[in-house]
Amino acid sequence: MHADDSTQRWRTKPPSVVAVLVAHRGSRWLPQTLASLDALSYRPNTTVLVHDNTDQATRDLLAANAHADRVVVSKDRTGFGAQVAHALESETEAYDWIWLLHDDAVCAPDALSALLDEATKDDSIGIVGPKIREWPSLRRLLEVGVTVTGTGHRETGLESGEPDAGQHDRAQDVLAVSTAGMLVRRDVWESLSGLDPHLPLFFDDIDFGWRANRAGYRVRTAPKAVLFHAEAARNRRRVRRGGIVEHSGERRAAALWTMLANADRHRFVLVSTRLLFGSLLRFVGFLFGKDLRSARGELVAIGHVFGKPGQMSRARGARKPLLRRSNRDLKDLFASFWMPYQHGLDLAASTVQTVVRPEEVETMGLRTLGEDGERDDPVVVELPPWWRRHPWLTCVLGLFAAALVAGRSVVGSPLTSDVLPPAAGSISQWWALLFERTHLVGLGSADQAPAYVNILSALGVPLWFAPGLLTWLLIVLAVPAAALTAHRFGRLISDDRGARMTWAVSYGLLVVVTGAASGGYVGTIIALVILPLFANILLRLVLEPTWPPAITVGLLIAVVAAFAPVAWLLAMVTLGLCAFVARPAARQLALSALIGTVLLGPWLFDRVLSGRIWWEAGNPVDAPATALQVAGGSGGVIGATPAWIAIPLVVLAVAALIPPPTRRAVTVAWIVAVAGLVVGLAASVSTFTPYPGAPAVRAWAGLGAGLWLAGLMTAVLFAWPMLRTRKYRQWAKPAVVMLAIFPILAGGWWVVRGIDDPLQADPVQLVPAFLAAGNGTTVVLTGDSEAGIVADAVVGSGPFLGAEALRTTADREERLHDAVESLLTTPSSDDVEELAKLGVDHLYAPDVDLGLARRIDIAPRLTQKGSDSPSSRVWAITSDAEPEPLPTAGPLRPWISGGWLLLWLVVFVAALPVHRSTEEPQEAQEIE
Amino acid sequence: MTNRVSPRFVLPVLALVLVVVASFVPEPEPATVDGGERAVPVEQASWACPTQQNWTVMAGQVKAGTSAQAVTIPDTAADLAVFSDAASWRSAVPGPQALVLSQEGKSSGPVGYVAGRGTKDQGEGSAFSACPSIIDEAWFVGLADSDRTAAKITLVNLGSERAVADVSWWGELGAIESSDTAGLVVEGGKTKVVEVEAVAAGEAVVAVRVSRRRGALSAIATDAGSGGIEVVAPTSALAKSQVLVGPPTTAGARLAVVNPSTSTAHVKVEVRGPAGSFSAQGLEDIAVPPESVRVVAVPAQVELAQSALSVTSDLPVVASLTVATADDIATVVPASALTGPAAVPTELAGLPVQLVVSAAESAATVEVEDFTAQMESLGTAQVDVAAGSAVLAPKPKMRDSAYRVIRPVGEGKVWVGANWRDKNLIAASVVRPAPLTVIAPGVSVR
Repeated sequence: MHADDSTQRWRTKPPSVVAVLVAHRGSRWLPQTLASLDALSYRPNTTVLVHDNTDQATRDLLAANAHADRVVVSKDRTGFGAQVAHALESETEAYDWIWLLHDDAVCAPDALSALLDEATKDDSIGIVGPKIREWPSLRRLLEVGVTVTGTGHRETGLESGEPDAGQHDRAQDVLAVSTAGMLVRRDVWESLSGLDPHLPLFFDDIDFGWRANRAGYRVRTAPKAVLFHAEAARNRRRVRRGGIVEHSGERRAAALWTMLANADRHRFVLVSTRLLFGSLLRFVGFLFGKDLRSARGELVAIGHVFGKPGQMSRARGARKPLLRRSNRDLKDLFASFWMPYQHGLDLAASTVQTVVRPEEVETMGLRTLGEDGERDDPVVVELPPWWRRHPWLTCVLGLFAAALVAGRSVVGSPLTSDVLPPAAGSISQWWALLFERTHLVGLGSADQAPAYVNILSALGVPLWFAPGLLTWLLIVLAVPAAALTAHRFGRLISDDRGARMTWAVSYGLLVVVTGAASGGYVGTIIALVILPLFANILLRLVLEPTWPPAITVGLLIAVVAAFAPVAWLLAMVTLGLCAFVARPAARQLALSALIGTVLLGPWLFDRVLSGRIWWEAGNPVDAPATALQVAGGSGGVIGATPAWIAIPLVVLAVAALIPPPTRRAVTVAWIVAVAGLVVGLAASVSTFTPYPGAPAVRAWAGLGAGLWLAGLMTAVLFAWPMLRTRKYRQWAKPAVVMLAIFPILAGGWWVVRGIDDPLQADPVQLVPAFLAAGNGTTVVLTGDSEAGIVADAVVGSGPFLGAEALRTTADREERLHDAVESLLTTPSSDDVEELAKLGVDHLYAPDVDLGLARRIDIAPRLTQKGSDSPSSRVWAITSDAEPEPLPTAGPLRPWISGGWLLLWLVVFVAALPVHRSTEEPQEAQEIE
Repeated sequence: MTNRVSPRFVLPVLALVLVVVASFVPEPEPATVDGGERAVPVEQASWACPTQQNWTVMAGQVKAGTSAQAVTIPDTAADLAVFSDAASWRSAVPGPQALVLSQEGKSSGPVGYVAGRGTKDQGEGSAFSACPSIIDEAWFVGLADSDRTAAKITLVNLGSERAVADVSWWGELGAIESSDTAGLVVEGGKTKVVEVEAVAAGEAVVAVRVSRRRGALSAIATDAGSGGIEVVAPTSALAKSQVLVGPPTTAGARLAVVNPSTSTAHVKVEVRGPAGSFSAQGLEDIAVPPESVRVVAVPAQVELAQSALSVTSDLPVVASLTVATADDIATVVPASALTGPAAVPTELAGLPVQLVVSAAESAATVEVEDFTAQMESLGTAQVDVAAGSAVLAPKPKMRDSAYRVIRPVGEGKVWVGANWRDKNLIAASVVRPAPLTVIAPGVSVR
């Protein structure tokens, strides 16, 4: 055997090894560390103990160590590499190998011999590192060699908490090994001039290994050599005082320095650019996570590395003479390009898991590893199938599958309906709507964009070229989304898993029951999806008044009210009641109200306070609903379920009032339900005029109807535990049946009927295709002489979601009104000329009133063109009059919009959960 | 057992009450545009007259307009400058084939009349008619009756864009198929003449409907033959009740009725004379077969001169009355009730135009005001009409009168007809309100 030969070789002529142990305030671990050195089966020839004289206990422990050949006090405020160098300078004996040790790392008895076994296998091997396991668990792997990703992250290649089961016990070439336990050949150390003094705390090991590799030496792992490392600095168990301390951003600066100093010459610019932008992105990420310390560190790191090109140039110059191999030659030693994205996916998966919060059944036989240190093989116990272990996850997956089946007719295209205009063609259109001073909408508009465009613009960024996917996802996946948020809230208010899951699914189906999904009422969908989150955070806020949830509540109010303005009124009433009931939370609730109001900006006056509070995002469409339909949870539109579906739910909710123990909570739910019913019924008997002079339309009652049923089913959920009591146990079976009826019928309706009609995957054709393609301005004339004529100016194929709310100036509206009225009565060339001046290219009457069409026909310079149906007419305007300039907002518009958007962003960031970096700099630790 | 509702069920009961109350809230009115229909002043109006050699076209208005422009079709060198004065009553002889006048001015109410003598083959009779504006639908009934073989329909395009119309025909034996007259195109600023004989050769009598598909189109008929000539103004729509006012004579009266529906219409005619109304013998129940025209000769003993005929039917129809002397004919078409002022010329060829005023169920009053050509008032006469009667308006006393304006006074409905007679030459014209206002639908824009 080769290994045996090697072993034989170095044992017959043992190399001299000098061990250098660097200590800094390590009295907590040093006794065991030093003891492990004493217990080595093969001991170093010389052991040099270095310390920076920062604490008495460490000094005493080192001095008392009987086997130490020498105790060296290093210079003040020097890094690990400098301390090692200082120790070696004092070494007078000849030595072949240097063994670097930390004060918080314990060696296995055969650590050094195993290292030497590997190190002496080949002359090209210059550095060898041990397998490092966690101390004190002793089982978890920490490192078996390290490398670096393209983004400058230290990469061990191990999963978090991965146990050592021998799976990495094959020695291999690596980019670097940790300095804890590193065995380095003396000539290699000297030729590379030791560790880089620019890296006193971090990345010194990676840089050293990287330089060794590029100088033609091999860096190997020796898994048979085991070291147990406490990682006291990383785990914040070492209190650094005196000596060298970590500065803000030092870890990141070390990473950037290492990456750039060792980059190939021809890739230096590319790597610099990538790292610079990556760092800026991280900076933004830290800001979003409100980790201001890390954000500052990132900036400091950028300044430290990129702001000192001379130092970098010298560092690269110093490395240049030693280069024997390019990074391309070492490509197998680097982490794969996919690794940073893998970490991103892991993060996303854990986030999803946090949101879903799977319901898990309790089992006795989870996969475990032997914990007594003697069993090496994992013990696998018989498990139930995963879908039984994760019933809620199974349910959610089922809902997603059902959602795709229900959305079978609207696959692959942006969704539209009479209510829902198509999404913008690209996100840039939404962004433009926010910042442009002139909107090419209708006769031209200088209006401020609706509040919900702020949200659409931000949410749509990841879907830049397919923003239609945003509304598609929102509507098609509305049921699982609402069920997910409901379930999360359900865990707060109920311990009964089965009832809670049924409740969550039933709640999710409300978007179908009301008709919001099939009608394209995105405001109601968003409100129903967010409502459980709102309730969740509001409940926590009332119980434990703090500022972050208050900001979140305000943000949620603004988001929902932007799409469904009536929600603002409901939220204000709710906050007022909560403040009345929970006085200690009054200030926080006031802040929520303030944020929820201020964020709406001009929208508050345009929609919320203008008598058009019923008008949700989208087109104002007549939505008649009877009182019975509202009582059945229906918005009265096509696609809503029949009202009788809700009867079992109503019966159960009434019965829920019977058990005294839960009556208080049930009553609260009933109050919410009745409030929803009031809103729904008020909407069903209300009309609003979307804009001056327009026909009044009946308000959409779906949101109130949804709230009504949500309250009822919550009342049932509150009372459900009573069915387990002796008194009510006899009613359990009928109650279960009745509870199941609603989700079964509503779900069946959803899946069998689908969510199309009136929702469709094709754009609603406001004008014939040839007019839409022309991208000119067409005035669409609808109605008749009795009901009146609505003249709607559209550009191209019509407005996209967000643009439908914009209007032109009052003066241009009046001129269009007069021109159209004259055209419909005593048409003349002046009318046509006026239309041309307003920029109108065509008139289109989709369902023409013949009498009115004949009048329009009379107008000169108005040429009738072929239309898309016998009942429609198109007239082209052939006037030579030049269109007048479109209305333009003031020069402050982009700044005002930017400020508004920034306000949203600030509140959003403030509402995000606080992220605390696990790699806090030392200054913070020194405070203790 | 108690009847009181347990407090725990207050909320469900409240919900129930809310639903019940909301169920009784009345449905909102159908959505209408704010403001609804309203009358708006006419700013600009046009009319077209068919002309022949030496025919006179008269133009006027009830209020001075701001400008006017006249063109002939085809464009001739005729001096039309006189028509540019929108503040006077003017006349000229423009020559063939038609004259189109457009006048601007808020509620000026421009009107036009044409008068002249027929050619030899037209019996050399006299013609007199109001000039129609742009039509949506135009009905002409009784054409070609009594061998008037020179009847024709003249379509005039008042605008610059192409106009299209469908012309449908009915005879005594039913609808007359004519694919040639469907989708007739009249180029901008042109006329198109459809000879009745060319479409309905051999038909004893025809009724014609012109339906405008697009463009600014006017239509007027000329009913002519050896018995005389008349220019027939269009009737705008079928109706179950219509009034034919002012036949200049009783002689040779023939009532033509078209029934385009698929059921037999039963028509009843009542004559309103100075003494009141009476049922015309033989005209109490005229059955008009479906999709056909029926002509009924009015018994000679029924005195029609200067009277009005009230024609009622169980189905929508259009009627016209033709009277004839030995040398000429005159056609009376349904008048529309006066809802505003109307203007008519005072005289033709030195002889006065007579105005017949008729009232229906209630008595009515009209004011007749004479004006000089420069629109200066010469005095007003009041004409009271008893319910169900027809009276002759007094003749103008002043020799300077160029035109008369008739205004309804009070609530009573009145219909007015004009006629003219010079021995055996007779003519009649419908009198319709001047276009001062028009009903506009409510309009909302966004």
